[in-house]
Amino acid sequence: MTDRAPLLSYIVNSYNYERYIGQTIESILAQTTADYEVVVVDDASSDRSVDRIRSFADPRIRLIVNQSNLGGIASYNLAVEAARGEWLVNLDSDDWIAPRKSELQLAAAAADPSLDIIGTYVKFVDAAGAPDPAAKELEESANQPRDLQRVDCWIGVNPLCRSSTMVRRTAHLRIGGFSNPSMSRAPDYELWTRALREGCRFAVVPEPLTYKRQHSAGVTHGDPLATLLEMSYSMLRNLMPLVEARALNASLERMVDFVAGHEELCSLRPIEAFRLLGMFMTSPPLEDYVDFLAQIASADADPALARIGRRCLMIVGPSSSANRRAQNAEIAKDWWRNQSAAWENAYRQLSSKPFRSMLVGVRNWMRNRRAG
Amino acid sequence: MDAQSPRRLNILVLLPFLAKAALSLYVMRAMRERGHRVVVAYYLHGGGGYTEDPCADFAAEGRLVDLSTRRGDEGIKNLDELVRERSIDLVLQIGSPAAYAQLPYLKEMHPRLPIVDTLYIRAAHVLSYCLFEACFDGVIVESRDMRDYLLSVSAKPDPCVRIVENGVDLNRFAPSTREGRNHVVVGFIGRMAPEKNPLAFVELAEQLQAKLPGASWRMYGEGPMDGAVRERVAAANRAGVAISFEGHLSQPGIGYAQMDVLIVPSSKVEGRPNVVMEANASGVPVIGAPAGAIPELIEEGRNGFVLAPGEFGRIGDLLAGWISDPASLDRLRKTSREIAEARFDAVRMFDAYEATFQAFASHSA
Repeated sequence: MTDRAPLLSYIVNSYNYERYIGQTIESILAQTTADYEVVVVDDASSDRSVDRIRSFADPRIRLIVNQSNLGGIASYNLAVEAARGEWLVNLDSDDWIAPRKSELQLAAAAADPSLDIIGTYVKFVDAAGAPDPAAKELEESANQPRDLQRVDCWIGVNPLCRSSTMVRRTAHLRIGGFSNPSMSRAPDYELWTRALREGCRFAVVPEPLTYKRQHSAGVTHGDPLATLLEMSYSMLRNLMPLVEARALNASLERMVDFVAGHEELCSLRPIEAFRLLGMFMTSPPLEDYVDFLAQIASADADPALARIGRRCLMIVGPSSSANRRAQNAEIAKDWWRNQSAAWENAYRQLSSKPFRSMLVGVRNWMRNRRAG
Repeated sequence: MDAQSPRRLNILVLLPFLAKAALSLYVMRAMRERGHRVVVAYYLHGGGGYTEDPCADFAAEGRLVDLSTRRGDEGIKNLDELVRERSIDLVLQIGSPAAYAQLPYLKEMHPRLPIVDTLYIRAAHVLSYCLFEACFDGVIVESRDMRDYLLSVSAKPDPCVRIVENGVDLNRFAPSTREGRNHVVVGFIGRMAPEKNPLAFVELAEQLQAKLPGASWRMYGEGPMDGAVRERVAAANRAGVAISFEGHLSQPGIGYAQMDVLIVPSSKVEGRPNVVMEANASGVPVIGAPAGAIPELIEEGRNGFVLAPGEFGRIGDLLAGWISDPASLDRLRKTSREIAEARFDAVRMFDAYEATFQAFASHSA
């Protein structure tokens, strides 16, 4: 390791992925861009992850081993502190990347120096590394050209896979790292939306250069209510100011629809659900995620919040506009089915014997008329 | 009809879809057999992800109504016509999301018509109920747990919550013998879904396998977590844990016959699960989590035990005790069936539903 800061710092959080982390590190070492370091933080794995990491014996790999399990957010922040590169390159320890990934991302950065966060398209693989059974649907949904500067791209969905991203170090320091240790389901989403709020510029290299592993041990889908709450907080804290500043009024409706139509909303006590919706109507000051949760749960806080949220839900309904659109589509489908039946009946009548006889009569009359 | 005989009711039931084995259809068929005229109306075609019940019996009597194309004002008009033409005495809302927004307008047209909601678990439709509760004359729930929850979230001084405890067919679920079995089979039967917490069962097996080589573990069911559970079971098997994943079970009785104890590791969202009653009726004791109404079903040490799935030590001790003393397990199996006969008989449930329907309908009479 030299004293000169490298161009890239790969950041790998390791926790009990002994089976996968070797492939993760190998994919970094196989990159076509050579100017990098790898900062691995092992969060007190109980398996032999640390042995696997040490087996590489590459001076560019720096391993930090936590004495106790600190959680993903604290480990990530430790890695960022230790990293020295101009770009911080994220890679989860169960994912891997294609050899030219960083080269192509740097080319994108060179073409547009205003970029701060650059992702790539993603391939979804199963626990064994084979294409996930749902890969086609997942990739069709994830790998879409999107303008990530637009608020609507972020409403209720995280279009940027963390393992695909590299973040300009100066931008990362400006917006701060993961600042809410109590978040566990959607901290990436909070970070990206905060970056958007702070004016960071995004791009995605439209090539599938990141391999994202889908398996049951992943945390993202383990607690859907927590995911809803963390995304709601992020939208309130980070997207709502942009909605106000840009007069994106329809985007407010979309955010409310997302929350009101979310199937996990009913996992909250009704008064809590009302208060959550009330926040989208009033944007109360929020210190942090803990404060947000406290405001939802507090029975003593402003009673108007629940009344406003309840009224909001009375208007939009627990089923969202997406559901309303689906219902309208059902109605439209029924209408077309009925029309189709009517047209078919009309056709059958036209094709019936008396009608055909009439047509023949008309044709003969026309012929005779022309002949005459 | 003499003065003593119960009033024959015209009941309109609003269902989201027609799912086979739904408790609502089971109860409504019983009500029909008791002489009530039940009109079943549904909002979506198919079985909602479950096997569909075509309800040919209701259709044959002209009492199956398709509301799937009737939305908004058209839907309200349709309900109004149904109520008038069929002289409906009672409307039962059983989980139809689209019905919630229509029912206040039906109530506006028929202020004396009792409209009653049915809510089985804390999540799901409780939020919708709270939004529209002004139009409801009452709510039917299955447990004290659910009643207390509704009382705590309702804005009404008295939302008129009535408990009707569910039950199972005691003839369909009968005890089998354990002869020839020299080890304890621990089972899970349920939907492979987060609220049923199937991965906790796998974890329990992983934790106890080394301590209990005389135990084997068996899972039945299907659902959205199928893949995750299979993957986890396969990993456990590789680690030497003897779990078998049997998948969908068309006849639950077969599953109960092959196990000695049922684990119900449900997470916080739980109602009054049928599996506890079915297991007991089959002579199988239950170790159930303290979730929903499970503690109301289990009499400690008589038909099972209330223990969180993470209480590995205590569960392990129980299983070890049954392995070393099979006679104690046989005694527990016997009292499990006795409790099922005393408390979980479906006939009692039908009686309670009928009495509750009569009570609600009498408000309009």
